[in-house]
Amino acid sequence: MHLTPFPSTDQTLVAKALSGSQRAWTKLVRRYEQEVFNHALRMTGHHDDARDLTQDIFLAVFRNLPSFRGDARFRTWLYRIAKNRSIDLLRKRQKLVSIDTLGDCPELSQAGDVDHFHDNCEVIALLRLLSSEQRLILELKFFQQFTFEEIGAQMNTSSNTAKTRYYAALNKLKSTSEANHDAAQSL
Amino acid sequence: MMPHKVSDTAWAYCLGEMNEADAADFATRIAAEPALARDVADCEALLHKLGGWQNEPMPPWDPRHMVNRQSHHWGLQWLTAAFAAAALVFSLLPHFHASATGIQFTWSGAGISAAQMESRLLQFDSRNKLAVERRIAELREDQTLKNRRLVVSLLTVAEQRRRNDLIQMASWFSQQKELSNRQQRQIVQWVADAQQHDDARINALWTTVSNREESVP
Repeated sequence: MHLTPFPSTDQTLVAKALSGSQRAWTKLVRRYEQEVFNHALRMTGHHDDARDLTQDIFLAVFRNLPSFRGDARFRTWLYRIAKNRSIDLLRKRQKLVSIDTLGDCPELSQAGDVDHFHDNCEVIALLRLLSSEQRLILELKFFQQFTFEEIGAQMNTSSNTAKTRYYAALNKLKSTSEANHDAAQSL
Repeated sequence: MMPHKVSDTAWAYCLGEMNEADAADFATRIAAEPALARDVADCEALLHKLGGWQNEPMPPWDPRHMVNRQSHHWGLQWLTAAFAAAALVFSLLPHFHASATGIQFTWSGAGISAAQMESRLLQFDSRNKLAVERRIAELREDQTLKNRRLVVSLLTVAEQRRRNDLIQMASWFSQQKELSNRQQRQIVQWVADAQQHDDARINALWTTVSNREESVP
C-alpha cells in the first residue's frame, strides 16, 4: 500500500511543476480536475463542452503558473481562471435553452446510476434558467463554498453586492420552479 | 398563485448563514407565520434539489502533454542557444580548434606550440603596452598644445576687450569735452548779446536825454 502521511501542499506542487516536474503537475491537476470538471459541467450543461473547458482551464493555469505568487490560495487563483474561461465560453456560445428542456438532459454522460443522472440533470436544468453571471455566483457560493468576500474580489464587486446577487439568483430559481410547477399542475 | 420574492433573511436562515440567536428568533417567527413557513419550506426544497448534485468523473485525459509541450519548447530554445554559442565561438576564435588530445594553436595557418603561442601573446601584450603609452604621451602633448592655444586665445580676447573699453572711454571724454566747449561758447554768446542789448538801451536813453536838454528853453 502506498502511504502518503504528509501530502504535498499546492504551493509545493506549484513550485515543483514550475521547475519542470511532470509528476507534480499531474498531481496538482488530479487534485482539482474532478472539481473543475463538475464546475464546467454545471456552467456549460454539456459533457463534451465541460471536458474541453476543463482542459482549457488547466492549460491556462499551466501557462500562467509562473505568475502565481502565492498571495491567495491556489484554489482561489484556479477558480479565478476558471471563472474567466467559463464566462468567455458562455459569451461565445450564447446558448439559450428553453425551459421545455427541463427534465430532458441528453448532454450528460449517463455514466453513473439513474438517480444520480436524474439529480444532476435537474440541477443543470435549473441552472440554465439563470444568466451566466447568476450561474457563476451560484456556482462559486453554493457549490464551491467561497466566501462573499472572495466572490466579490473575483467579480470586482463588494461582498454585499455579491450577496444580493446570490439571493437574487436563488429567488429567480425559486420563482421559475414554482411557475413551472403551477403550469404542470394546470395541465 | 403568483410566485413571490423571499426575503434575504429567509435565504440566510435556509443557507445556515445566521448566528444562533438570530436563527432562534427566526424559527420562532416561522412557527407563528404559516406564509413564512411555506417560503422557508420552498427555499429548503430548492436548496435540497441543488444539493443533490453528485460529482461526475472527469473523462480520461493526460495533463502531462502540457508539460511535454513546454519542455519541448524549452528544449528547442536551449538547442538554439547552444547552437548560437557554438557559432559565436567558431566565428570569434578562428585560430583555435579543439582536438581529442587538447587544444592546438595555429598562427597564420601554421601550427605552433602553447609556449610559442604564449610568447607571442606576451610580445603582443608588450607591444600593445608600448603603443598605449605612446598614445597616452601623444594625447597629453596634444592636450597641452590645446590648453596653450586656449590660453592665448583667451588673452587675445581679453586684450581686445580692454582696447575696446579704452576707445570707448576716450570717445566719451571727447564727447564730454565737446559738449562743455559748446556750452562755454553759448554762454559767451549770451553775455555778448546781453552786453550789446544794454549798450543799445544806454544809447537810446542817452539820445532821449540829449533831446530833452535841447528842447529846454
